[in-house]
Amino acid sequence: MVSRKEIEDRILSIMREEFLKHSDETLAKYQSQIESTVKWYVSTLPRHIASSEANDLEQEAKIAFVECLKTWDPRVGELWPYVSMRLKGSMQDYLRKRGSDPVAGLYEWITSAANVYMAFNDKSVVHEEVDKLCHIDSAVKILDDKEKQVIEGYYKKDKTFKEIGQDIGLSESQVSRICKEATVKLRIALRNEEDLVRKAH
Amino acid sequence: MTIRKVSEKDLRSRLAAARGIEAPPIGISPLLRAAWGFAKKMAHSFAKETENAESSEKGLLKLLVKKFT
Repeated sequence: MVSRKEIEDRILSIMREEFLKHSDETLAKYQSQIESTVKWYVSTLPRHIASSEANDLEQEAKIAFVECLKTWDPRVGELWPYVSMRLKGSMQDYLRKRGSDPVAGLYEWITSAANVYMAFNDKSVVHEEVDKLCHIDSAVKILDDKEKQVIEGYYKKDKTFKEIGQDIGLSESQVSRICKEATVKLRIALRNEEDLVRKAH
Repeated sequence: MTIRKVSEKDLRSRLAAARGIEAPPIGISPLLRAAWGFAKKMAHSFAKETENAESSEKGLLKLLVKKFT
């Protein structure tokens, strides 16, 4: 005997599957509302974070929006109220993760230090030289081709996930996932290298 | 059997009530027939969020009828 709930769940599942095939259109429909939400959130951040993170926060908000489409239940309420709460949460989580991410922080520090060095010394600083000093270049060798392209594009060339995705033929969400996984691999590789150096001395 | 005349007021209110309820198509699965009102409501909610013909209310209901056979 099939219960009423089982029938309703099946109806929802069939409709949601079709609905998700057109998630790009739903995203386009709410584009301006997402941008307003991101703009409002960025306006609450310190200036130095807002200027460097605004583009990435917009990407994170769009990824979170598409994820929300998968879990939205029309029985509970309208789409936008459900999504808007989660957009802010996803942007907060992203900043928290970036703040505790040593590799991301390290590249940003290196870039700022290089810019200061260039300003005071009127010299060019090559990324490869800076990388060698910090062993990051050797750590990057453990990554596969796609991971290397994503890491270089994101951390060295300061591209957004969308731009990297267009370059290598992947979606934004795929690039985001690869970046997170590759960052974790680099962190472990750098930590292992540190341990090896400590043991050698 | 007695035949009673239905007052105009009564007739109007019953027609108005019926107008809001669209009968499910003939020949659909009994399970879907029982949940047709729910299906229409959900199709309307999903269709509102896209502007694609396939995921319009009619498109979603057609797909549902097909999946439930």
